[in-house]
Amino acid sequence: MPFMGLDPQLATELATEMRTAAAGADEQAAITRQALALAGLSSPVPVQLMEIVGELTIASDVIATSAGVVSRHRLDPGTEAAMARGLWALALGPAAATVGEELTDIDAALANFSLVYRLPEPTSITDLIIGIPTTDPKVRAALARLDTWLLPVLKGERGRGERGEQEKEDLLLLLGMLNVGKEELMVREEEGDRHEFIFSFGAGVELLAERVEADRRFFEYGLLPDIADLLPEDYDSEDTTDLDWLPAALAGRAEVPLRPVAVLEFVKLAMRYGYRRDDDYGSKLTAKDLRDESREALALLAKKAMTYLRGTTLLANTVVEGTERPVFSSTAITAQIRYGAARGAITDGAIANAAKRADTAFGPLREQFLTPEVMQGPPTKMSRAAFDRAVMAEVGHIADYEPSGARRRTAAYSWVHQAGSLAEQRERMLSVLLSWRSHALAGPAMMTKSEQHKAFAEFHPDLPKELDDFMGDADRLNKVVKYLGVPGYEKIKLTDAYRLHLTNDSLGRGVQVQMEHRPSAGFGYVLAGLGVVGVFFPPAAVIGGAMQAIQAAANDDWTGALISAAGAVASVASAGGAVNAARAAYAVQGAAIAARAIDAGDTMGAVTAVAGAVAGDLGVTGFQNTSRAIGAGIATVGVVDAIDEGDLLRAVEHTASAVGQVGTMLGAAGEGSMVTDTLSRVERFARAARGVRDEDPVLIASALRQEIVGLASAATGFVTRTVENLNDFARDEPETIARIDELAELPAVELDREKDALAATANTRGERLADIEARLDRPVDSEERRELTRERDYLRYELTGLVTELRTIETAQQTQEFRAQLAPVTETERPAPVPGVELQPRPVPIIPPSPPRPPVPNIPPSPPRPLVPIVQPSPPRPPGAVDDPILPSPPDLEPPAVVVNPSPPQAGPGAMPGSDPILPPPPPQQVPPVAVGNGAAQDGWDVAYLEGEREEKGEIEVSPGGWAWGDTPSGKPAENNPKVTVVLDEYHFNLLHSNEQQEFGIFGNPVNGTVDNRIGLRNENTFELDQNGLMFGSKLALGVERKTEHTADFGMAEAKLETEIAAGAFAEGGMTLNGNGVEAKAEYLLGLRFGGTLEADIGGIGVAVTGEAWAGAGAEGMFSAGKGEDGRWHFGSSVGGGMGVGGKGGFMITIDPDEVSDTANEAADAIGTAITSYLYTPFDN
Amino acid sequence: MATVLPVPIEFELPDGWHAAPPDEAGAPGAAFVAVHPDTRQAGFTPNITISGEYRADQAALAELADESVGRLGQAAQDVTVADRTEIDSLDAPGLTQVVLMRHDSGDTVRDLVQCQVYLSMTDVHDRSRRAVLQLAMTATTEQLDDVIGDFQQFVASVRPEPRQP
Repeated sequence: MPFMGLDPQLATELATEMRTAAAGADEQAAITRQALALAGLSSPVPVQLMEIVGELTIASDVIATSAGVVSRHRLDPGTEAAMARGLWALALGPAAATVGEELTDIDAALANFSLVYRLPEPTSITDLIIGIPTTDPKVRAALARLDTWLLPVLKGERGRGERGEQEKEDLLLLLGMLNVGKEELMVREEEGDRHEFIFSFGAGVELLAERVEADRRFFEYGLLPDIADLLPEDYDSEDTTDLDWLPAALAGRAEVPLRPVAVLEFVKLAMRYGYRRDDDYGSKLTAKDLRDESREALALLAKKAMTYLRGTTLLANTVVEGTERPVFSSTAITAQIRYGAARGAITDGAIANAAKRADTAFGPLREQFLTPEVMQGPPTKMSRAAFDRAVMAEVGHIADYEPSGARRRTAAYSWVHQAGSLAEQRERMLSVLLSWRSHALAGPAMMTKSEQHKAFAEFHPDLPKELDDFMGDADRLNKVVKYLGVPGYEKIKLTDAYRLHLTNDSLGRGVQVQMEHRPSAGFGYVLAGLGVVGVFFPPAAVIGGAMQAIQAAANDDWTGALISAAGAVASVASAGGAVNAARAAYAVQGAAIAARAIDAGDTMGAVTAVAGAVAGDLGVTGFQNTSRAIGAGIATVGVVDAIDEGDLLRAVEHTASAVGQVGTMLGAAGEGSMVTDTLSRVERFARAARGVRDEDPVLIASALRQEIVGLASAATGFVTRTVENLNDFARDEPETIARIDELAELPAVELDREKDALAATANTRGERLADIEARLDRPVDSEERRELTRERDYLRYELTGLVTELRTIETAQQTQEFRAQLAPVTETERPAPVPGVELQPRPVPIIPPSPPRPPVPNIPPSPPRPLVPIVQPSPPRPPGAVDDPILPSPPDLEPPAVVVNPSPPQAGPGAMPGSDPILPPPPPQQVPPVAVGNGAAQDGWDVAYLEGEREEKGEIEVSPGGWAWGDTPSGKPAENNPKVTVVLDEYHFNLLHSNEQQEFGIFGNPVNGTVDNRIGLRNENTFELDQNGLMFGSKLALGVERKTEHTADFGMAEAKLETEIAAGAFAEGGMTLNGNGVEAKAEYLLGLRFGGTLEADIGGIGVAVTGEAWAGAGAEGMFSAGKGEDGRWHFGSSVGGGMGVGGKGGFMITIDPDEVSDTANEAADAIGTAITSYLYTPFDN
Repeated sequence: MATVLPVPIEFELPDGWHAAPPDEAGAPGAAFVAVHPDTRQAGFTPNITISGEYRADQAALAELADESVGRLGQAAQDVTVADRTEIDSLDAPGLTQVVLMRHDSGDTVRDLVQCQVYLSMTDVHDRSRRAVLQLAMTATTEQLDDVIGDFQQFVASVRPEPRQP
């Protein structure tokens, strides 16, 4: 039965989990079925889910059954099952006897004992089969005969040889029988306890092998059974490891193979059970160390370890001191060793750096001895016996824990060692504290400074010098505190705090005693008393904060010290219910973090920290600032809460809100509002993303609705300006438009020259005009006045023309600028004239004459952190596409309302999953015209702010096709691509719309036309679920569109010219979640980037401590992950700009990939070396 | 949404490792998370996490490693640095750190080992700026032997990815 390595308990748990999963899948199927029924759709998914339910159920049954089998077959003489095994062993008696006497029937005997232990290069059956006595010459002769044919069988090269737990147990029984002997077996049979007797002898193996095998299983199978172990028909037996000789070796029936790896493992095994090599304590023995050892040396090593291991069995009749626990269990042995180690540590004396760690490890001791009674009672010295009891309690605590892993013993030793040394420290400290306490109580309630100095000198002879060194730093830090401007904290007695830390808690206790008498000593003393607090208040955060503060101070990192100290104080205050004190401390912490952030050039971090400080401060001083400050504080608290809850999205949302409000507070006209706008958007999108994650359409919809309204609001100014410009042009003479367009085609230098010439002419004419007007002001005769008046009128007319022309040229220059900024638009959108017809006027793009800024909405000025607008050029449209109301709307970005199925196959085999986060290119589809609020006017502008239309579609399409469960194998195109697409809603807002009929003539030929101008927004939100995962897409377009259609009748032919000009900004985003990675495209996070933090470490243990997001650099954020066609994972961010040039914003970095790769390789080696050196490394051959 | 990396990277994951959404996996601060379900045991799945940071300060990698130990100290007990090795390089210094800790998840106490690799990538044009990656593998001491080789393989395969067109 192939149950090798199966742990019954874990297998049962696994089966339970699988049943739970089956129930979940069942429920999912029901829900899906209901959803499909509601939508009136059909899909094979529910059926497939039910198939999975069935498979899971069957598999869990098999696993559970297998676990039961293993449990029943466990060798345990105390159980009924073992009794059955023992009776069965009786039946083996004759076979064993046969083996013992003549060996003629050895084949039959071996048929029952087919366990094979493989050693390198087996040359004889005795190399392979454990337990065959070889002292008998007859046996040796028989074995020699059998070698020729039995050896291949036993080596697994032929037929029989299935190995497994049962065979191993059979062997164990055989060993017992062989040891007992036939005669003894006969006696025992009559006594009725033969099987137990057999076991007791076989237990020479079993006793230790149980532990050894448990560990081996542990490493080999990671405690979880392989499915292959559970399904016999699929079971493919694996090689036994090199440790299979161990049970036999421990039973004294095989020698430890004299190979370095084997000896190493054996020594390590012994060390795990307490063996201590005489040359080196610890587990830093490596195979490398043994590589060059002689066989004799290896044999000696193995022999020593073996002697130890066998010696430990003597403990079988004893119990752990002070307990009922039998010694011969790893728990008990470990406890013994730890106890001894603890004693040794105490003898050896204190070790450094124990305080923090031992605080946790030695909690019970502290609670037991540093009680108020002890502290406030008469000075006594802790008795040795009491201390021993404490150590023993700690040992018991550790022993109960019993990590079963490789480093168990080393770690335990380390703990106890430190705990022991801490105990000694505590013991000393206690005596110091008590004497100091009596000293303090004997003196005045409040000591003077000189008294404190005296006390310092008493306990810390080196203190005066340290104090001198400290004073300069203390002054500096006090200045920092003042600089931070946190009201009320200037009086923090940092000097005192430092002194108290220096006293290693003893003076801290003194101060606490003082505070008992003088509660008004002040907050500064709370900080000062940290060292004491760390002792008397258990929360690890307090200890950690205090230690970090001390460490930071020692490193000259005063800001860090302040942060840590404030954190510790806050923890203490929180624990004690001192809400205001906690808030104050958090305020200090926030201010210090802000200072550090400023030092690091992290402005946004500083702002965030300031917001946090403000929030903290609110509770202390009742500080009344603007509603913004309060809002920022509340939002900051939200950030902290969200981080605590591990909800990063919410944290981002709150951070954006907080910083946004602070930005408003800072907010002078320009940057403040920009920050606010931008962060409000981050907040919205974080909320939307959270909606996606939580599958909360309402949240998504509300966030995006706000986004649209916000964008529309932001666009209003732009719209207003633009509409004026548009109206100007709409009213201009078509000839002027044509003239401007024509001029704009000229080179810029030529325009300049032309302008200069015109200006010169205008100046000349102007001077002449001024001269004439001056003369007309004087008395002149009527004839001359008439002449002058005529010339004046002419000059005025001429000047009007000149100025008009000058303005036209200026407008043309602006047009050139505009086109340069919208280069793709002007280059690609300019319609070709209808062949053969030179038609006037030519259409003109929307040109804003003033100010000469490109009318890109919602984009703040860029420097020094350029926020690059995403200007999406519209590809040329086919003539006639005049009824699309919104601009710009390039076809490849227009999702269809319903994805037509079946979906086209994926772009390519193994394409990066989710690489196309937005809907796949839909078939060309005309978006139907959307009614505009006030309809189209015949002339002028129709102001229809936000009177657009929202279509709540909620359309669902489920495509048929096989359901791909799990990951799609990379490299294979999906044959079926089932897809569910939900178009949540579409928003169409035509902000402004004008439609003007034109009629004019060219060379006497009438031209009729329309000019249609629109400014608007479009948004569409979709969900799509397919085998690649869940995808949320959102597209937002804000744009300006002018369409013209002119028809000229030249008599012979009718010419028609349609043009379309579009400009605008896109916001587009989406997220895809699938089995291979996450891809988020967030181009609409204009002006923002999310910065990573180095916190993979904390994530590794499943706890997120901090998260941060900040705004202001980088124009688009995008990260993607996925497995590429090459099988490698590609993961990165366009935020960083990648290698070399091209990063947007201030975040471009150029690095040397080869060097990084080299370092990575070295790092991999270093990790390997470290693990080999410091940790137990089993089976590393 | 999980956090991002300062530079795009490419790497290989040995068989048996599967990417997991960082938020769901309980590591929202990581940019990338991979788990090794086969060796899941008693509620703990060995995992590899990647995070990164853009830095313009001069903090030594050892300081970052210290900070990491500090962070871990807030979530675990008995945090010990078992090994720390610095890798000298002009433009891409590195540091490895092996951290031992005991973590109490409320119902289970585990001995954990975290192998950390810090890769610093200095801007060749402006040496005051750099991107730092932290690669970490966390496993219980029992699981370590099964996954350490994979982690080494993974670390060796990490490479900045040239900018994509």
